[in-house]
Amino acid sequence: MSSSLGALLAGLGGGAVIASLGVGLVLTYRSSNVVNFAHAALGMYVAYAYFDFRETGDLVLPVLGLPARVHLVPRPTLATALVFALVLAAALGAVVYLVIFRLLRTGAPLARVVASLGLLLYLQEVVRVRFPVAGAGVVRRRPVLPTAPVRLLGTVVTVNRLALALLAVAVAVVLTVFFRFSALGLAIRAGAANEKGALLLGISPNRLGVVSWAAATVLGGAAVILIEPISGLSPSTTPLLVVPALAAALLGGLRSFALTTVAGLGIGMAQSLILDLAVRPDATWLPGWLPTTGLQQAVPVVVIIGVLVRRSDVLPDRRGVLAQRLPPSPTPRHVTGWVVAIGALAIWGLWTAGASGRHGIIVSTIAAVGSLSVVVATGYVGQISLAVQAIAGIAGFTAIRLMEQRAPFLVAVVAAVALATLVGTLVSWPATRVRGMSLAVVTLAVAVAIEGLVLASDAVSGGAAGRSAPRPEIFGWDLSVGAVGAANFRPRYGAVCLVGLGLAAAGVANLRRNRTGLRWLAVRSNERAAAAAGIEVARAKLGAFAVSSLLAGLAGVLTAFAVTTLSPNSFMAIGALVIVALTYLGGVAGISGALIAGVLTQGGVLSALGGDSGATTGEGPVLALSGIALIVAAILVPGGISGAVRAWLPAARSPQSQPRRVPQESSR
Amino acid sequence: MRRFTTCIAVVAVMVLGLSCSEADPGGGATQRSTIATSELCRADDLVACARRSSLGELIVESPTPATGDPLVIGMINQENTPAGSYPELSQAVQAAVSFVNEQLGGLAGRPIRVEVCNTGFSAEGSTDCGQKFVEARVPAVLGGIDVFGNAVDVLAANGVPYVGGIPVSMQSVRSDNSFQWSGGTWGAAVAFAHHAVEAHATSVSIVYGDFGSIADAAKVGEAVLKRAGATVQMVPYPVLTTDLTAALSAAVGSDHDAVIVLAADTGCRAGLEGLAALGTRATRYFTGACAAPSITEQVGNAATEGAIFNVEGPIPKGVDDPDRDLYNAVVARYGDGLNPIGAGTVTFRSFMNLYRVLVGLGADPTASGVSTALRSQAGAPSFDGHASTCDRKQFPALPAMCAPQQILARMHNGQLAQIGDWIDVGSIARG
Repeated sequence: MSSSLGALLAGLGGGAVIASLGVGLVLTYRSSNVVNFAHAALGMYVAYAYFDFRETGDLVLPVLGLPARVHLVPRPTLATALVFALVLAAALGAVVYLVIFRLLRTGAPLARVVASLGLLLYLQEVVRVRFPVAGAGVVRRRPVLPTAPVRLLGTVVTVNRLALALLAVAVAVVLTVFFRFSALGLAIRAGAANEKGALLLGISPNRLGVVSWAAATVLGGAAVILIEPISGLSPSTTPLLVVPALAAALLGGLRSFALTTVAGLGIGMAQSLILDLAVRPDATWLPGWLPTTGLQQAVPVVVIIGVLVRRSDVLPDRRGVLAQRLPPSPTPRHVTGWVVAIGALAIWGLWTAGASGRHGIIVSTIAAVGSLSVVVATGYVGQISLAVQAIAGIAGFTAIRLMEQRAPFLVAVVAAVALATLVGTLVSWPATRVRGMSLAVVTLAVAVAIEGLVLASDAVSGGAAGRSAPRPEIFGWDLSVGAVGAANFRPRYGAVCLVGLGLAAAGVANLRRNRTGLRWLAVRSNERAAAAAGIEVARAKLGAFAVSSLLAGLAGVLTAFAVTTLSPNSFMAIGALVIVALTYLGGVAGISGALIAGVLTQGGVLSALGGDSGATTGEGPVLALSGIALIVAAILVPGGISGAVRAWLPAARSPQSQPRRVPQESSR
Repeated sequence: MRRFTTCIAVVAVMVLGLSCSEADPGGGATQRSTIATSELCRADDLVACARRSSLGELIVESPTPATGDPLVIGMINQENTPAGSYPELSQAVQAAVSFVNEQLGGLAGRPIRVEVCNTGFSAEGSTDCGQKFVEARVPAVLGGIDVFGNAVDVLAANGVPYVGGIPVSMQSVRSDNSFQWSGGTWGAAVAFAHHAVEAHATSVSIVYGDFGSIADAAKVGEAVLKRAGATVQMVPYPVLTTDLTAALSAAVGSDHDAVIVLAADTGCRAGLEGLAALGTRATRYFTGACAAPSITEQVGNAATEGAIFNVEGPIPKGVDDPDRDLYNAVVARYGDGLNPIGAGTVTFRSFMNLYRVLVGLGADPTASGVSTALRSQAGAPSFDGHASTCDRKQFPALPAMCAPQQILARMHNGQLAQIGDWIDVGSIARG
């Protein structure tokens, strides 16, 4: 047997992990149109509860505030523990649907993304608080499947990996048959396709949702329990297994269980083969500066994008049009006045606050620029892009590298931002054909690939050591942020950031008010109608992504000069989810929302005002509260904080100040 | 839908029906590992234990509990974050502080207070932590885990020493004002490479997590092996890996003489089981975290037999290990339930080594005084570790390392047996 076949089989376990989680994602999406970023996190909680129950007989409750444990049985058997996990997962899935996603059935896709992110944060905190462990070395977990090795086609695979792959295939077959032939399966499909129609037929979407979410959570829980000996179990890494699982689900069109399973197994095996080819002693084809692990992550991404773009249309079908429901985007007014007022307030803060206050203002200012990038791409054009961090990282490291090559500060900034704009536009090219949640997943996958392939490269980021930016100067005037003692976080760098934010906000406001902004809103509202009105949809989208990337690049450059050492860790792809969520919380459809998101950012103004500048000793479940806040905002305040304030302000209620509403959806 | 409801009810009945128990497999409800405190070190006489330990010379005749205005020391750690939470590191330090204040008289009668700053897993949080302690004018800041390391930059710019902890950022090992008493992954990689060379391995594979300090350490190990004429295959795997099998298969595919696995503790089980399943005859090397009893017991003797691990203290041949006994006893008394196994040992050692320096500086130490005292250390005792010399020359390109020396141990029948004496990894890395 060839070495390549052996390498493919070695990827069976990894592929089975991806496939088993991917199938659950598809089930949730098919039944309720939710791409559940918390799918692996739900499975993680069930797995933690299962392993704990197996040893202690305790039910560990996932609701913070309630008693932590309820003792059920002294020493449960394997069968008891498995049934316990099954029931717990089903109940958890049902509750999550009823409390959160039932209320978002008709909400914007972005609201569901934000809610699932909030759920993810909450579950991570629950696991951290309820299952405290001091490292992997102090917990024993008894695996469900045997781990004995077996020889297969001349190579060695363990029984659990083989069994997991077979189970994933079996589950896909069962679900495919169930959805195609059973009455309940047909009802779920009908409900997802046309809720009103299903209601007329007497099908309750809520009941279907409960069933689907219970089943999906059982699948997720079972998957994480079974993959624990393969992938480990940790609140920091297990929830992120959703990223490769999403890639598989996407290849399955978020609809096909069979294709998702095949794609999951294929991705795992392809990554294994790529690794094998890259690390062979005679592998001279791989340039030394190219990170091997990045290559593993990038190749499947390229395949995914190729497949998606090839089978997608330039214009969405009618269902795709109906899916768009974003909050109104008000026309920016009194921009100059706001820029001057907020700028003056921030300048006053920079020159009067202590070091932590100044740092808070600088962090918030840069974060607001990053959030403006989200406002343009998502709030104005309705495209959910999760590549903002990767683009910011490219710009940040480019600026440092250029200055290391003795480029003047301003030249380095302009060149880095220009490169980010170019890369961001190229990365967004799939957006001309892919949209909605598919685009979100594609851009997240691209960001993961950029992180592994570009940002992790020693040549770009300096690898583990990161890079320290040279001192920025304009005409000999030192603009660096660092100083000794309490003088650190110098106001003059804060002023540079404020100038950047002011220019960015004014530019975005101007674009929003002119024809470009109206075209964007038209595309956001209804791509088919916009095209019918003579708007080049693809061009409008690419233009918006170029602006969005420019802003992300600017945020990256400002970050590069704000920290002592810039590390690739500062631009982890998954961080984009937090930026998007915070922007949603602030108000994704307006500039004010970006400013609020900046204030709310970890280590920003709010943290500094609360004496909690990201440097805390707090024991409270802050993250759990953050997660709940995101869920509540997604359900109750789709316009975010700025939208709620506008609704409450008497002046905003006067007819003159009402923004001109763009139709949000065509009627049914 | 009615059938579905019925199904749920049936399952509920099954739960009740299946609520039978099985025999206790391990003699207790909890599966957490614990280390029994040595009989030589009684919890009610910790001072006597301390006198026998490497701290012995610091203990006054009749210590009384410390009183008065506390001396504040900083500590930077990553806690309460979804990206990993390591409260055990600060818990171990707080246990040590309580012991020192209550039983050793603090610092010349003055209590010590350690303020823990949480980076929140962000560069901004790390920076804020550094700035906070600069403005608080603390004489030293203890390390925990800080992936970003920006705090070390801020502290170094202000002359505040960063002391001990788990060195995971490059700043923590490269900064001129950082002092480390652990060789970290670098020490392990060089020790493994050295042993492989000594065992006449001509072909070695290094499987490593492609992130931060682990990737850097792997390259240092590679350099040692290549200098000795060995062929090296580097097999990185990504942070978010679904299965180590692919990397392990690639590593054993070329029939190497030795396979070195540099993984975080979460990768230990998969690494040990994976290499055992692949049936490699190569000598297997794993970091010391993988030798934790709960891991080795889970994977079984077959998976660990013959594997070599690094440790940062001699494995006692008898029952008496004064420093380890004191650590276990203090954690049992003041640790608030802290499991003594784990990385808390490193931060406990860090505090005790800092305490040794502080005692020499009196009740009101300054940052520059602590830095100067640390720099002048040459062969100073290090709590439960190799003697410390902070001349910035102990490990090439990593000036912060004061005691990177390693000991290797081979697993046989579930027990670690020390291989030789301390390995001076710094001089080996230097070539």
